[in-house]
Amino acid sequence: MNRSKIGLMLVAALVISSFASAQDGDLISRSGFEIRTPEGLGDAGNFLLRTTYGPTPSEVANVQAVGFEDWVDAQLALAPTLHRPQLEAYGIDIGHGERQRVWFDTAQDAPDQLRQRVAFALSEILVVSDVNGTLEGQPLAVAEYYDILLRNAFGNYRDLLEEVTLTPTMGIYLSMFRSTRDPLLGIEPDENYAREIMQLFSIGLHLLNNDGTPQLDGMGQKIPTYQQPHIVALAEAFTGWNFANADNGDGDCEPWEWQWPEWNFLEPMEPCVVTNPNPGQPDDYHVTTEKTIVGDVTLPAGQTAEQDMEQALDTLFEHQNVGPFIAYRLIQRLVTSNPSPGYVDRVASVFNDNGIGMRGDLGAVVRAILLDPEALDGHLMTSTFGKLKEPLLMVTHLWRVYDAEINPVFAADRSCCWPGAIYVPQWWFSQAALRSPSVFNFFKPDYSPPGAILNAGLVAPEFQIATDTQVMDVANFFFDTLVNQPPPNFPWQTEHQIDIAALQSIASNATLLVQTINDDLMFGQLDAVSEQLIIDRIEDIDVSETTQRVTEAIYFVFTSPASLVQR
Amino acid sequence: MKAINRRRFLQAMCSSAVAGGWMGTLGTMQRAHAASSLAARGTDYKALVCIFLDGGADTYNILLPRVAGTGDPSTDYNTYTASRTNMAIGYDEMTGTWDPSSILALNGTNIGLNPALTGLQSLFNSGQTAAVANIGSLIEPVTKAEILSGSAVLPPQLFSHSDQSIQWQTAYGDGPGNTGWFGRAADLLQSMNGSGSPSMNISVVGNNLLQVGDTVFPYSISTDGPIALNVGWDPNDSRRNLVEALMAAGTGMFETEHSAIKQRSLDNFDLINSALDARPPLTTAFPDTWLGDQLHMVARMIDIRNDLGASRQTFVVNTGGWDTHDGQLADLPDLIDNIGACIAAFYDATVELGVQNDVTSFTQTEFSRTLNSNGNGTDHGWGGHHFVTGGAVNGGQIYGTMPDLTLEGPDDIDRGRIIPTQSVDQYAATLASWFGVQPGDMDTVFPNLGNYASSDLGFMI
Repeated sequence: MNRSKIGLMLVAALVISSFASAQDGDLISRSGFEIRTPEGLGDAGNFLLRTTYGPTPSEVANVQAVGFEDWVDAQLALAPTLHRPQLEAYGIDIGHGERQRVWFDTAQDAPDQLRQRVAFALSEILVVSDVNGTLEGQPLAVAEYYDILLRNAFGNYRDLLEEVTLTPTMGIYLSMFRSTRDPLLGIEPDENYAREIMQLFSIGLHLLNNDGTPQLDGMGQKIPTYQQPHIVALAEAFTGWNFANADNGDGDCEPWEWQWPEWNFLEPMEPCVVTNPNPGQPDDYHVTTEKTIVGDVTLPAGQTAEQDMEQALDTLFEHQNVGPFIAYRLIQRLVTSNPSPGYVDRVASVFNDNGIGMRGDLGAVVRAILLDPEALDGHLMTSTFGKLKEPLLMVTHLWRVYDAEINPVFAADRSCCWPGAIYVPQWWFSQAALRSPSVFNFFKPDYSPPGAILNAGLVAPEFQIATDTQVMDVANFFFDTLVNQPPPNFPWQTEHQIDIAALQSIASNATLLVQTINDDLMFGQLDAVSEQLIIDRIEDIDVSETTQRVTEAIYFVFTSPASLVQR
Repeated sequence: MKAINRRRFLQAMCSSAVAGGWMGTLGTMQRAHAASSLAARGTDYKALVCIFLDGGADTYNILLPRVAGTGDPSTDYNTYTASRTNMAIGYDEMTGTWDPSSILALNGTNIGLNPALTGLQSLFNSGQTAAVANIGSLIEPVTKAEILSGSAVLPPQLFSHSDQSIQWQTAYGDGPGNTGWFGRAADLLQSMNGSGSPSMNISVVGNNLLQVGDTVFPYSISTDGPIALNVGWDPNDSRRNLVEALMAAGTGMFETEHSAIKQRSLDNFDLINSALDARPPLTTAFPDTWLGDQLHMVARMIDIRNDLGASRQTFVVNTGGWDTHDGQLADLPDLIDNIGACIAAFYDATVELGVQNDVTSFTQTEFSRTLNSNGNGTDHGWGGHHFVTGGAVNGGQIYGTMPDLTLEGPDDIDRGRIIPTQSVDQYAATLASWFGVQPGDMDTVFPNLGNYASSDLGFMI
């Protein structure tokens, strides 16, 4: 694509066409964009880096055949491949290691790749973690939480927010579970969830324009979205919730039932309602006084826990910030670290209205993110487009392209195998699904590494975990599992084996080998200088050492600087 | 992340693996560096060690009244229990009564220490540890009346984890938030270290804002030191050279940044790893915890200061789990026990190395917590108490005023969120002054310091 063509597209972006119906599958075109067709291997491959756990050759061909739009629409129609049923299939002794294994298995094989990627993105926004004293013993509950993200990935954000809020996993993680007021003991409602649902899950700390830039007051200062009293009031609104059926079905919550309910981590929390108070027991575990929450919205006195919950979540969901807040974060997870305000604005507008008057349609939002001209042509518009890849997604990429399979010995005996990346991915990658050190995820949306990127006023969230030690850990993972494999019959074996037979058959031709791997993993986008450096190295390896030639070539191509970045 | 330590796993695997070439590759890249260029310019040495309590530590259960009925609401155990109810140290859930007898005495005060802090109690009473009362992020001194009337100038987003964590690291409550005070101090002092010396700002917790300066950036190590690039048996450095050539060939903003980190890591590895290998192990035993492992590594880095040409070093370590909205009664004792044991072990290690007068450790956390209970925990507060330990500390005293612990009292905004009476800026400036930041540079490092009556809280000798 040349410069004049981009210019034409930008002009087209200013032409707002008339309303289109969602049934047309044509939400983008109402903004006047023509969704262009894929142009070559790199165009399709780069698109699939944003939308899958790794572009396999067949999927690259598929995108080239059907085009971006039809590929997305086909993916939007696929049913979710859920994690919890796979985890339950392990039977006894289920732990969080098995949960990570299910995550890798699903990334490798699930047909609903886009849904899985969006759910993973959501898991880094609506964070819960098994690094938690209670949840570390509840792998099924955490898997069920992930399934909620999967089921709602293309649903409505209002529904997702409610399901996430009421899951006992979140109830435990951010301690809304059994929050109440007890004047006798001087106990006040727990503020944790009230604060973080606003700061991290919906509206953020300061008022935003629809393009994601901060609104400023007359002094040029950012304007806080809410004040501490709004948090206190929302905490009051979020009181009275316990495990489902904590009252044992008789409609009256006894003090011991409130305090020591039967555990139920897999169903949504419910209010535990007192109908016949015991001596000394509160009339209600829910705080029923009037509350003034964000936007100075009043929740009237006397509402039930469900009524306060509905009105509070409606208020957050309807806030003007949610569209740009969620749009910015999802764009960062899928496409680029520094979206232009125009890009955020276009996606937020789809969040605000999907074209048929519905707010919060995540399927339409994902579609808008991926088919936006900045997603498809951002690499031609600015040199700072794109993002550092998440290390976990590099692993799944390599494994998908070369049909990795778990070592059969691993199924019988996990202690067989090196390097422990399936059960404890964070050892190597400083990240693992739903295993963040805190609700602030592995990295924050506004993280900027000191130096050129910070000085340019740009951000690069993934660099927050790219420390002097992690960059070595990640490279060493690939060296150890590719090049440094133990010999046959060695006591330790490698957890995953990739299929390199096809590459071995061309290994005698170093140029062809490296070019083929460049096509497989980088869609031919590794620069010629780097490619030649690797070819020279491979030619130094004896031609009979086909495995060494292949594995070194993969290692050097895949860990080269250009391969670490998604464009 | 507790209970997860890959390097221990690696050690276990290495020790149980039979002889074979494929694991034994870490030591193949030893390269001699010219030590002469690394000689520190000065002969003195000083290090600051920040112990970050991640999540907002409930310091009101660390430093607390131990005498009932003093009549002074800042030191009276009865005021404390009235505000803290079931969160109070000494609360008996079965009887609903309170008993302060387990609280550890600090010489000459009615204030005591959490029963788990026996190690810190001895250091306080022998003069190596000072307590600093009621510190928090501020822009200027504020009163309750000013806050209530809306006239107070306050840092943005009070009580938010991310914002107050930034404010503690920058010591610049209304600043741009792109550098931390260790970083700004290092910008001024890095030249005291030899040319070619690694960054004086060394992190065992990964990236952090505290150590970011305009020119000096944090350098990260693991609890076992730097990590080698594993390139297998590579006698002619052909693989390593190719890695470096590919990094040099890379273009683009993200590529260049990543390569800069990786090249720095490669360059520092040989120097640091060979120096660490050459030293005998420390005899001081550290607690077998994440914080203990980190402080052990800090002590080892201090041990090789001359090999690194380091006249000044800063370190950041952390310990998580302090955001005790839930399960505080169950979780806090172990957390508190661990910091006390680790601070004491680290001090002992500096004695072993003969640098106890040159190394100062100090605690910080984004905020303390509400005095009152949310049932089984506490929520985000503001001002809180901290500890400074080392031979250069004028210890055995509490610096500053203990706050009135009365709910809705003069020092409380609401729920026992205590208004700080000393700022992060003053706490940090006192440390920075000892570290060597010159008086004329203090306003550069701490732009708001002039807003306070005192720029030195007096706890350093």
